[in-house]
Order: sequence, then C-alpha cells, then structure tokens
Amino acid sequence: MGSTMTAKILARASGAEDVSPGDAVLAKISFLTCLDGQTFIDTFRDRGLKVWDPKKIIFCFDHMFQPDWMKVQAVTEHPKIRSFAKEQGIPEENIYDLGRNGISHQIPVEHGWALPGTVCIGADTQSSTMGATNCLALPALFGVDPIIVTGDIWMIVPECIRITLTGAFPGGVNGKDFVYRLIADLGEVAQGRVIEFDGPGVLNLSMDMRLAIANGSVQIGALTIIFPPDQVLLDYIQPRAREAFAPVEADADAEYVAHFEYDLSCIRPLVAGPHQIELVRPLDDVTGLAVDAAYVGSCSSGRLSDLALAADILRGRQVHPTVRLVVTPISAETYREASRTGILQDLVDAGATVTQPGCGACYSGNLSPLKLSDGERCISTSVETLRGRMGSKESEVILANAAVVAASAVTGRIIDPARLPAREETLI
Amino acid sequence: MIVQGRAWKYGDDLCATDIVSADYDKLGMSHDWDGCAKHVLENVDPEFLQKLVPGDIIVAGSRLGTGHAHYYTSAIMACKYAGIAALFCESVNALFQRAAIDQGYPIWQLPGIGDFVNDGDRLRIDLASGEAQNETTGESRRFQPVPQLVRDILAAGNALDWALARVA
Repeated sequence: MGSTMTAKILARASGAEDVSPGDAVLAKISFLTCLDGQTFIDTFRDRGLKVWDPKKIIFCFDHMFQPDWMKVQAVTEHPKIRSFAKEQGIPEENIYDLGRNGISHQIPVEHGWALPGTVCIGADTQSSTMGATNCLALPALFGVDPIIVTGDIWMIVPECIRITLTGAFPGGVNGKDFVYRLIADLGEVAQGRVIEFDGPGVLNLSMDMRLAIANGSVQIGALTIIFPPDQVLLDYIQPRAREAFAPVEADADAEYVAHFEYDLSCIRPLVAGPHQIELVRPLDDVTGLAVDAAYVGSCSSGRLSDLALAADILRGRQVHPTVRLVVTPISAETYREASRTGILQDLVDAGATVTQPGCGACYSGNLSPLKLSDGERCISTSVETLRGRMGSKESEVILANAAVVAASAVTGRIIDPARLPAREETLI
Repeated sequence: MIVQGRAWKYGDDLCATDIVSADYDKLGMSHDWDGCAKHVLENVDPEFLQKLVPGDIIVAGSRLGTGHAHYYTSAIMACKYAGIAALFCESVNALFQRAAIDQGYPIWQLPGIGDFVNDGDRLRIDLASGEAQNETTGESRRFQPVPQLVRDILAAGNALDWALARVA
C-alpha cells in the first residue's frame, strides 16, 4: 500500500522508513511561526529555558496593535518579544515588525520559511494555511513550549481524506466559497484528518486561492490541509525558499479513508454566519439584508487577489454613504504590491479606508477603525463569525468573498455582485 | 499504566464548553483549575459532581472535544482537578487530545468502549496493553494500546517536562 503526502512527510521528519495512521512519531519541525501574544515567553523566562534553535523561530506582529485599554497591547507585548528574542539569540530579521509584518502564517509563505515536504508549526489557530506549499502545517495552539525545547513534535499519524479537483472557479468565486462548500458537505468525515488535494483542478488555483482554502482547515474540522506540488507552487516558492527542499507526492495507491470529487466550475458564492461558521447558505438567502460595515481582510482573504477582486467591483463606483468599508492587506508585501498595481488607489477612490497590514478588524480591533456597535451588521471576508468578535455582542458578522463584500458596500445591502447596477447609475 | 474506576457515560459531540461552560472563562483564563473543577458537566448532568468519586472515568461517544480551542485547557484541567482519571471515547478531536496529552492527562479513543460499558459500571483498563475488564459485567476486551511515546508523556506529568528530560 502506498503512502499519502502526510505519511511521507512524517516518515521523513521522524527518520522512519514509512509510517501508518495510528503510529506515534516524533517529527522534526522545520521552524515555528508565532503571532504576537505568546504565553511561552513567561514560562521560558521563569524556568530559564532555551529554544532548540533560535534561527528557526519567527515572530510576526499581526494581532496586537490595540489601544492601551486592552489587556494585551503592542506597547508591552512587542518590546517583550524583542527582548525575549535577544535573550535567546533569535536573529533580529526573524521579527517581522512594521514595514515587514503580516499574519503569522502568510509571512512564512511569502518569505520562504514554509517549504514543501517539511513539518511547519504555527502558534496560531489557522496555521494550516501554510499547507498550500505542500508542507504539513500544524497549529500548536497552547502546546508550543515542549516543541521549541526539542525542535520536534509528537504526533499520532493521522488518517487522510482525498479530494480530487477538476475545473476552475467561475468569475466572482474564490477559495473562501469553496471552504464554505466543504464545511457544509464534509461534516464529521473530516474530523481530525488531513485533507489532501489532487486532480487537474489544482493547476487552475493560484497560490492565493490555495492559501485561502488551506486556511479553512480548522473550521472544516480537519487537522490540516495539504496541496500537491506543481509548477504553480514551484514558480512561487523557488525564488523565496530559504533552503533546498524536496516536495512530496502521494502514491497512486495511497490509502485514504474517504474520497470526494469537486468540479470547481460548479462552486457558487456562499455565506457563513452570523455567529456560527456552520451556518452556510447560498448568497441568495441573505441578499437584501442591510449592512452598516464591510471588511476585506484577515488570514482568510486579505491577499492581493482578494483586494483585486474588491477593486474590480469598486472601480468607478462609490461606497454607500451609510457603510464603513475597511480594507486590511494581509501583509506588508501584499500592501506594497497592491499599491504598485493601483489596487489601493481604486479602493480609496471608492471610499474604502485602508489600514496597516495584519489581522485587522477580524481580531477585536488591531488598530482598525472598524468596530461594530449594538444592532450593526457587517459583511466581511474575515475568518471568524463568533458573536462579539468585531465589537458588540449584539452585532452580526456575515462572511462572504471579497466581491460580495465590495458590492454590498456599494449598495448598503447584501447583493450578488453579478446584479450590481451598471456603473453609470451609481456614480456620484 | 492502569486506570480503574466507575465509568460515567455521555453521548456524542461532548465539546469543551459542555465540560466547562464558557460562562466560567474567567476562571480558566486566571488558571483557577479548582474553580473550573466545580463546574464540570454542570449543564449536561447537574448530578455529576455529586456522584463523582476521584478516580472515576468519563466515557464519551464520537467527536469528543470539538468547539473552539480557546476552551480546551479549561475543560481538560477541570477534569484533572475534579479527580476524573481519564476520558475515553469512540473518537476525539485531534487538537483537543493533543492539548490533554500535553497536560499529562489521558484522553484516548477506544472504539467500541460505548458497547463495552454501561453507565456506572466499574472499568479497569491497562493503557499499555489495551486490556480492559468490565468488573461489573465480568467481560474482558482488548482495545488498541496507547502508544509508548504517549504513555511517556503521561508518565512525565506533562509534555514540557517530558521534552526537558529529553534534552537534559
């Protein structure tokens, strides 16, 4: 019986000939990426501990830019990380501060840390995002401490499910819609398992789309998601890679506990929420609902293609006077690229407010001017729809792709972008 | 490594906030584990803490430990501090299980356990061999053993101390 990508990566990382689901292994990790807000710093200081390899830990400032009334704040958290890094010998360039910053699972992809065939660990919940680069990307959550003492992670080799992709997304549909399709369809079959993609449809997915899909792993209920290596990945990763790497591909006779097929051309815009991510509905079910706020950003959808999708809708149009539209690029690199290509100009011309990179309004603020009040509704590309996530517990967050968010910002009501009035009618 | 006690059975989809309600998040965030332990399963089985004897075991159904990861540690530490020896189940969320093992607390899937024990039966199980006896019904069964590596972490008390011993 052949091996899955997951089994091959874990065998390689644990020095075993091969591994099977259920085996307990100790897998070497290639690096750890941390958001800004870490409990292990206190533990390491209190107990006088050292990290296994200071060159292989990075910190990405993304969550903690809040005003000083919040308990954890940039003014204390960021200096604490800098001083910890100095104590441990973590290189200065491994701290992705303003000017280079971004979300903690986007930075390792852009900067060539997350490499094919390796085990990559992130402290953040959505660390599976890095699986777009053919690595086994795992969220360590509260379990960082033992991993960075030894540089390895204990694992029970997980079972895998295979999803074969054909076709290409129609216009106005992106990875976010496909994540919601999988949340609605897969249910418990994905629980605790790794989703491995294959099929000719993979080639039709840009890196941005793959990252957005892999980002959905925790919400789908999977342990993580892995994409196979192909020319799209290699063209992206080779100029960025910090060291040599060896991609893995699943064997033709690899064992999967379930197999699904999706024709990407059949995926339609979906929305999720409010309050529960499992509440997935066709866009038509919520069209017409008034919105007070609109947000394009977060680890789910703050990438260049998302910003471009919003800009395509907004070019030559104006945001409705009763709607606050805020856009937060996922990283400094994305911000620069959006500026260079004119996307930012289109956004601000339409009346969007563009903020510094990071998690933005999705994480209770992050220096975002977008906070929801009692009774307000936000249409958002962000990753969470939990009650109170973006402000008041009496507000609602409905999640959708960037085209839907931009179109709804123009009309003040949730609308299918395909039904947006022609530009002449909405020009002010 | 032997777990022995009375088994209290609960159903499928027992999530972290069923074990300790999100209403007690402040106790969890301040690491008041004794405080969390006073509320174990309060909304699922209000009688539970009265019948619990230290060393007892919870047997859950499928998909134990789903829900938001923020609440995992409170649920796990509450069980530990309440004196519950272990949680066994048909299937478990992998990240919830990792969080438990990292805290040195046994939460393990034993497919078939639901048919093997009735609510209130006395169960004895050797995690190393998978040998289980239902001391109430007199039946025996062999489950999949818990791997040595995981038992090492449990024996060390938590994953950090286990890791430190390996680099010492």
